[in-house]
Amino acid sequence: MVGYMTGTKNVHDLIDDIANTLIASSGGYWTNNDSTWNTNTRTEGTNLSRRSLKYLKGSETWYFSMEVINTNTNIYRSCANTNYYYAKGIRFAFSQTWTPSTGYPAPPNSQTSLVYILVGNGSNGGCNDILNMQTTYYMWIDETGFVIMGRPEPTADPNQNSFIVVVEHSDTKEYTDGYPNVYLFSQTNIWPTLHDGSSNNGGENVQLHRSILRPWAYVWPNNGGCWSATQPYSYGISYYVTCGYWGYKSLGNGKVYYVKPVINNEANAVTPIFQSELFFPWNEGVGLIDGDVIALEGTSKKFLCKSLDSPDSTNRLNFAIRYV
Amino acid sequence: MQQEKFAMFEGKLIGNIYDKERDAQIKEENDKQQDVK
Repeated sequence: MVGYMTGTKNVHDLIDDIANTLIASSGGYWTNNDSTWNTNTRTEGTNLSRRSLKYLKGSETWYFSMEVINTNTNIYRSCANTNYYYAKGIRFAFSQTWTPSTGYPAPPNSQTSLVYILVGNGSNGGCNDILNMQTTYYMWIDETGFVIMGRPEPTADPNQNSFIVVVEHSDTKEYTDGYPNVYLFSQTNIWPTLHDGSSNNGGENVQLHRSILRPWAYVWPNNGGCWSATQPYSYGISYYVTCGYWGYKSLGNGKVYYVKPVINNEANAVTPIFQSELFFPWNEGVGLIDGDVIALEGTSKKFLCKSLDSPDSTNRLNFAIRYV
Repeated sequence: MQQEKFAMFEGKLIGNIYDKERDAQIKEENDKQQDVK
């Protein structure tokens, strides 16, 4: 059922929920694209638990897929030595075409982001079976897309990340650019975006975490390089209200002020095309806390402030997500 | 007519789903503001 959902599930069931709810949403824009891309095979060491959807609205069409990555994926090699880390999580992909059972093509005809939920040291044997990890989730789904914030329940893995993922379609844009009206945004709490050093592995960099996918204009980040954690702000999606602040409760009149995230058409903050209706970031220490509900004046929409740390880090993801 | 875009938006804090005391306090303050108007 579309709307707000919360609970605790494994990630296989979560991608099923997202896919099935998008398919059931009004308009019929999202359809099941490939019956062989299902979540029946959840075996550790395979990435065969996956879903694929086709989006069609007017003349706009593209494919969106979600894969549970349950193999130990080498996510980076330090510039200083040959150490590597392993990651497991969910890989999201937009693609222009689809080959039954094979799936999405290589870039530039696809864009991918592997959201790292489990990260382990390669020398210590890698991550646990992701099937055994439960995730407490807070999620909104409607015909425009979805926003999910998730916090993994503790396992023996040393670097468990909470995460936010947003996929949103807008009917309108500020100017025509020839590209679809959709984007993906994601962040994790330990490393908001992890610049990955594994580009020396070659391939299509499908192991990279990208905070922003903007079909087919750009992805961010789009490079490997050395291990580093980076905030995506102003690299394609921007949301500053006043200098240094995102959403906050005014110290003067108690009202909540925020900016709907501005989606830019290039990896900068000066090519705005539309604004998000599904989420916005907020600052701690300025009147808002986890669980606060904000009503937006002039609409019936409400947003829920969530603040997620993770089992292995006190860093918090602070985002308000659509609630009503 | 000039149209505002990419502007700051405002909302109203109406409660908290976890903290009952905070929830009650927010609702009380909102009621007071309603009375003043």
